Amino acid sequence: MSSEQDIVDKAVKGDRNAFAQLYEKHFDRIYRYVYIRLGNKVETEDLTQDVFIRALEAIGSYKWRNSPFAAWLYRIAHNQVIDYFRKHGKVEKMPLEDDNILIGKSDPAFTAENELEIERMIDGINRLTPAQREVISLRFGAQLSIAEAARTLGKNEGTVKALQYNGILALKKMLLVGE
Amino acid sequence: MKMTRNKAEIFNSCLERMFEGANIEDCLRAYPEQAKELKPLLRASLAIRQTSLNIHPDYHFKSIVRSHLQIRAEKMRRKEHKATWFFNHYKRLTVVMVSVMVVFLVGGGVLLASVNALPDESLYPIKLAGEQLKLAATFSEIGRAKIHVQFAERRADEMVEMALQGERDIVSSLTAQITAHIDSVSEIWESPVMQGESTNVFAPAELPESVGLRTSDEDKSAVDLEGILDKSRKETLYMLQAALYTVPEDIKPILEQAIENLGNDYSDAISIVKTG
Repeated sequence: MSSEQDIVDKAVKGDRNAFAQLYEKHFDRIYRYVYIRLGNKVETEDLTQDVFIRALEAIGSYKWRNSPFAAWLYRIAHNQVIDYFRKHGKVEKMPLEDDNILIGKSDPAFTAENELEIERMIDGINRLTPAQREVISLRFGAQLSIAEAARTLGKNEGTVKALQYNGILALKKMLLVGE
Repeated sequence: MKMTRNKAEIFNSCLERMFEGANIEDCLRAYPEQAKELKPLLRASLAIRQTSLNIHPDYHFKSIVRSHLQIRAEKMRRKEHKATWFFNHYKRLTVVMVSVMVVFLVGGGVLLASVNALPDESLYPIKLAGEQLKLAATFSEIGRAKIHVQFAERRADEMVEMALQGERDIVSSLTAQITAHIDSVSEIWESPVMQGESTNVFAPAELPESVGLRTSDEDKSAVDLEGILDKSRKETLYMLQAALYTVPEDIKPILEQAIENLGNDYSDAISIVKTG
């Protein structure tokens, strides 16, 4: 079985089957990351497609030594999300002050519905600071490792761990989960 | 700050273990002093992770993007191909010679038997090799353009068969191939040779007409390529639309997308031929 590096090397050389394998491996995770950031299905679909088109166009110039492949791919997704907010004049929701963040009290009727849970979670993530929001989306949506998330965001691993910790702490308060 | 860093380290260490399948109690056993504080956070993390994993892209959407990417990749390949135009003319002569040798070795009977092969059959690569041979042996530009139209139609026939069998990946791949054939028609039409420029250094005038060589008097206006493309578009799209009634449900979105894309590809090619 080929390692991801072998597959990426082949894709860089123009092997379309190799690119297809990378697509299958990362598609759902990219989609999840973008969905958590945008919270809108139609726009998430457009943007996810754009991410892979850009990756296809740029894969020929990708080099391992600069960054792991996942970090490279999620960097594209991250930049696409930033561009999206810039182009559409949409402002990412600003974090609430600590004393205002208690929303969405636990309600069995809500917890029974996945969609409402997702909505609540995205609403909560949107209330985090931008840096916490990025880290939580990459770690829990895209399922990146700390190292990959750090490379994607250009931060050191210690900072990413601290942002993750504080982000979860804030989300727990907001969503009243884990009680 | 240092305290937070330390907590963040421990929290992440537990989180990684839980993501690998360990339970909360096992993770916290190593950190009894922090256990009370970390437990609700780890439980919240698991809840958030589970909720995240409930976000799934639409299955059909994923197939459509896959199909778009295949078409895009094929177009990129064609563009690259165009850049190495001169190189490929040399290559074409090589293909003819190698293909003739292959036919000689494999036998004409096998080549003939492969004519009706479908993409999931063992003789299909021979069918494609035979098509390459035909293309490479046709030195007339207009002749090659017509062959590309013919091959686009063949791929469409195969696409219907594969769609009926529910072969979604092959259907997407065939869509990309049809696009490539139609793009080739436009490229040939826009090539310097067809524009009346005497750049065809590979087509010396003394070669006889019988080998299909395009000489300088090959007249664009004498060929109704627009009509050929238009007829091909109507027949191909009609056939694919008709197939929508019989193919499995999960293939329909891919086929609908293919119809839309191919309709646009044909329209682009017709417009190039019309104005060129």
